Amino acid sequence: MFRRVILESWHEYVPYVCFAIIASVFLLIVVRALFMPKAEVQRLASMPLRDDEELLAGQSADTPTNHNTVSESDNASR
Amino acid sequence: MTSDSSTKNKVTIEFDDQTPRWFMIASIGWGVVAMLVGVIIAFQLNFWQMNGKFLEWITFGLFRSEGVDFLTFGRLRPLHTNAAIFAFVGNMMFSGIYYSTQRLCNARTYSDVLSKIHFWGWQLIIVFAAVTLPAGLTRGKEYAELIWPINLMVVAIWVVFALNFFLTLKVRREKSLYVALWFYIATIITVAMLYIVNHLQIPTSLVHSYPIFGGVQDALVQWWYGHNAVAFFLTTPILGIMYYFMPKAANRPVYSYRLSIVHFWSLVFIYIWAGPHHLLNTALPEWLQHLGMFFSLMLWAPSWGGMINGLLTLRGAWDKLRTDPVIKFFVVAITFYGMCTFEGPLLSIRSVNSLAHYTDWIVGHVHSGTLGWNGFMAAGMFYWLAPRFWNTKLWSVNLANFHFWIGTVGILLYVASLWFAGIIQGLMLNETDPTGTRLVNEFVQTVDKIQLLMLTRAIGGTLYLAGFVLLVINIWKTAQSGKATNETREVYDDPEMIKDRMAWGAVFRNDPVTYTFWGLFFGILWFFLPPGASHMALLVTIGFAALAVYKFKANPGGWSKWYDDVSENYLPFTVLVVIAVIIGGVIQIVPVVTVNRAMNVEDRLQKLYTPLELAGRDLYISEGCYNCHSQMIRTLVPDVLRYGDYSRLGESIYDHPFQWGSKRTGPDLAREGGLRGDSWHYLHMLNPRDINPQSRMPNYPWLFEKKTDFKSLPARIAVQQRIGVPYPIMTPEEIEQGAREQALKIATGLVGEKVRIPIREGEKEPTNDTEARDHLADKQIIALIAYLQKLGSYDVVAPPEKPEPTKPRTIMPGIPDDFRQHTPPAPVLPDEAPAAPTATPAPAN
Repeated sequence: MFRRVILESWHEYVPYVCFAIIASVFLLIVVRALFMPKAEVQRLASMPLRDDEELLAGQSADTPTNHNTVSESDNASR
Repeated sequence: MTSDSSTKNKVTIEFDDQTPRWFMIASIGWGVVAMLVGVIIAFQLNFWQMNGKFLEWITFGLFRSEGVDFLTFGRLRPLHTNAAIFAFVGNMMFSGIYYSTQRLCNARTYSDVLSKIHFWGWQLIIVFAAVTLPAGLTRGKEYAELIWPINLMVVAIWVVFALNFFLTLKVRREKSLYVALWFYIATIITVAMLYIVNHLQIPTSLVHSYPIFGGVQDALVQWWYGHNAVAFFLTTPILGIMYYFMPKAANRPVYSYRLSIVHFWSLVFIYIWAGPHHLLNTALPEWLQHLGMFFSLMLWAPSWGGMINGLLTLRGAWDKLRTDPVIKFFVVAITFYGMCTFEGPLLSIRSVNSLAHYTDWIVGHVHSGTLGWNGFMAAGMFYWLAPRFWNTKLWSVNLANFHFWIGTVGILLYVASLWFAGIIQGLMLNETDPTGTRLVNEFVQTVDKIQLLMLTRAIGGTLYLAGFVLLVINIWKTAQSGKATNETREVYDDPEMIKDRMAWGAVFRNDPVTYTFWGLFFGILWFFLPPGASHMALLVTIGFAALAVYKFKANPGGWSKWYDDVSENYLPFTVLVVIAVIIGGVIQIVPVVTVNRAMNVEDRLQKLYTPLELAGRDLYISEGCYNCHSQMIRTLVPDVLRYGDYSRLGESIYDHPFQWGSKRTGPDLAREGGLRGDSWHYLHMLNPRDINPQSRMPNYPWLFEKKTDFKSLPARIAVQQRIGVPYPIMTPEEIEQGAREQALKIATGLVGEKVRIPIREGEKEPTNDTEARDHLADKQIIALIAYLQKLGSYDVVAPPEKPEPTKPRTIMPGIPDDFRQHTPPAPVLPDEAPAAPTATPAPAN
């Protein structure tokens, strides 16, 4: 009843080969992530918050910022 | 510009906030449209009159129709899905990406012109989609319905977006690439790859084409695309948005940046493989089904890692959950992400899938993702962005809170009712008597049983839409209370900053790449080489592994430096992502495209459609019948008992596009041909209630008025030949003549059975049988009947020569079908064909 169009003996190995490859990649990434320097991790994690003044005070970002706005009508008149 | 030091210049940059603002407004507008159409089609599943008949009531009889073509479920459902995915979430995603990328790069978007082309081009695509889909112009593939000229526009606009994005990365003033940018890169690259491959097609006219893949190939490519459209259009960009906006809203960094790295790479490597889980228990080769299930289960880990990372970002600030609507939306959205990504792998287990597939459980699952995850992330982001875009405060926090609660109740009603509906219907469809040889319930009984739940679902959707309308009011009022502004920021422009300097040689010629590549290469050879050679390959693999360990121990910093360099250089990083996503697609698709061809089919081979049947098939696709009817009898006992012998791979090998379907609102049609007479189909399409009073199917009166386009058939058959369907050589006259003769034959039979012939106002009524026959013969209904009567017909293929016995599960399989390279049977048209074996009658539809 479950006969298929093609003989699939070698195809049956594919999921296992793929799993082995992906599991290896996963393990490598986990190891790499775990051993990342703490300071580097903190620096990267705080990137979205760089423009918040109070957080800027506590970090040594290499791109200090100052936050302001310009209205579109001002912009158009420039 | 003022000089801050000898090397760093302080510069003021003005972000382009107009583009994300416009995208946000577009997302809100299209969101209302998408949800409104969703509510309409949800009610259509309860009340067939919602397919056009209701217009009679609301116009007090001024407009009279039994059904309106552009308002039917089959045409509106693609509009709903495309609007929700590409218009609502698409515009939301672009808004978030343009906003956050500029801030994470400390640079204005590279080109305002490209941004404008992107914005207006995308809106134009949506407008075209909104016109063509209700008009019945479709490719007949889910989430890929848009016709080929629009496909070209999508590709062009996507390239503009990609160019603008990558050039912004190039001019960034930040050495590192934050993880949100990684997710955006993966989105741009993978969506481009998926879209192009799944839209390979040959046009037959300006508005019609056939995909180059057919049958199982098309099914696999479609769901590789369809699943990963969910993964890389609805998930990865929104995860990028989560990793940027959740820390902003919570005012604290992401819980674990390490976890975000694992989350990203695991998703990118694993997600792309999971597409075949949409085709479990079908005629898809079994190894692919295992692969799809296997990788879907693996997705549990990274998805939940991401959910935990998002939620725990609120550590120490959970009190905000009581007061801040943005946080409320984000937390519930991320929770739905977790629930949805738990449910997805669960549904990918074959035994669970045998119950859930083709039922409303799947629809509930999808909507917990789109309404809960995408919709609430969008709402949270819009409430956070609007005050900043217009430099003011949110107009009403209370209204946003009310939106949150009404939306949450709406989703829960929607999703829970579909869970129940799906499980109830699945159990009823699979129920047999104690002998296990007879089904207990007819299909329509199962539809009737879930009617209250379907109504609850429609009410849930209406509540969700009502909540979204509150968002529209709130954002509108917020915009009115402020002034559109662009944020400016003073940053240091450091000309000595080292970024994107990694040479391509350094990317590829190094120890990690060399040893990984050769280790894998010989590892794969170990699987496929004959005995002896395979042992050598294994030895070489072990040798490479040992050498890699030795090299790593000698210089561990070198290995991690390579990865660090790649992750800070956007082009090499993009290449790494391309490799990650391409592996899965290649391993799945290439064997199927090369091996699963008609020449290799054993058992059964689909009969070719006659020109009239092909015209009928194109109408079937145009009306969106595949949205409710599958053409795939699974290898499951209840399916076989209900619909007949299970579908073989060869029985749809010439179907461009395949029509296996993904939902059974009505019964499967794979073996519909010959089960009922022509007059049954005729009357059923005219008014399904005349056949079955409980039916929810729309009436199709226009099929009895519109004429079949006989003139286009030669061009269509020419393209079919080009994509590999072995039609014999026929002149255009022969094609048209053949179609007309077959149509006359069917019409004669119908007139002989004295069927009612609908006559339009002002049209002359036929006075005798000949006139009645001529009146009917060129109508679309005749072509559709011809197609329906062909479904399930096949030729028996002579068994191949017996292959030489091989050891079971040998690791030296050779080419899988080298013994079956025989000439395919000569194509035959129905008139010439020997009588095909009759399909097993379906006892209980």
